[in-house]
Amino acid sequence: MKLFKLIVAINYTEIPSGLNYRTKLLTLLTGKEQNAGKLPFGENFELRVNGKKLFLNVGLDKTGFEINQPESEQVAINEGISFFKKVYNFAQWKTIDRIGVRSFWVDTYSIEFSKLIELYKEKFFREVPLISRAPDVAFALTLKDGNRKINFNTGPMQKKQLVEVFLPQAPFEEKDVPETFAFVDHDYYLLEKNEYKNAFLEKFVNNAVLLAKTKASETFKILRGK
Amino acid sequence: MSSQVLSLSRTWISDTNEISFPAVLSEGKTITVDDIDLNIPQAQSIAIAFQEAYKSHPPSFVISTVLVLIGLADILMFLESSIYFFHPYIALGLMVTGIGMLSTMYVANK
Repeated sequence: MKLFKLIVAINYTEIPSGLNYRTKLLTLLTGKEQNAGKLPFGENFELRVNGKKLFLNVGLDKTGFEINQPESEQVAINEGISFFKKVYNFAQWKTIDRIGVRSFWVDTYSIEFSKLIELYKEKFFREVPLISRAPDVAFALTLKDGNRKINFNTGPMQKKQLVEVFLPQAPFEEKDVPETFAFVDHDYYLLEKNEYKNAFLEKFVNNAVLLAKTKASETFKILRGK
Repeated sequence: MSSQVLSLSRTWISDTNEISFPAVLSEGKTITVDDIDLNIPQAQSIAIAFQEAYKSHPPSFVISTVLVLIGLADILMFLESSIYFFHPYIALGLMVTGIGMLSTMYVANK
């Protein structure tokens, strides 16, 4: 089982002071405290880092970190936390409306794809005509962790679809993408206003990845019949 | 998921998840670089944590710093000339309290 992708994102409504150059300029030029607001199409800074397979975004209403094929979970977590710490020193966002960690886990199989579908049917579904006739299966669950919510998806997948659906922007190494595998897509988020603190983000990300790992491992164990 | 349900699953994935792929909508020009170092140097990181501690709790930060300084000054004075305002144990207590408060604020803002 491997962590294939990790995304950490925060959303905020108040423009971070460090990024609010339009308001600063307006206030400076008019001599009065004023709010210039946002531009209609938003203003985003996007950075693609090939060496570390990262996609970074800093915007007026959201900041996101995305890493693909990390060396380990800890490397992914550390890079993510370092990114937010570094940007926070500059952007200085205050209240955040939402924080989320989405992780994508894969367990590689060397069997044919159709056999993996059959395995999913056998382990997770009842033998009813609707399921038996389906050319493919997957399922979604909604889970909870206190006041945090989780969207959980799992199913069999092939390389082609992973590349098309999950890797549209961030750099990745195609040769390291498995041909046939089972996936767990774990989207862990908190929709609640919170004062941003690096320590809070650090704890949230660690907790989210640990929980996702446990859920993914549980799923893959059922599938492998362990 | 096989190719037969590719279009369906694409909708399914984006509809059931809060954080979409890619994490953010592309609204600007993406810059590409080969590599970056995201780590903040340790000394700078400590300085930032204390700066944040001051910003979030200015009175506690000032009081704890004053406690540490008074305690330290009193102990140094005692060591140098055996004169003190507070008994050295009390001065030590002040220092420990101050350091404890600063550490708590540092950890909270790390």
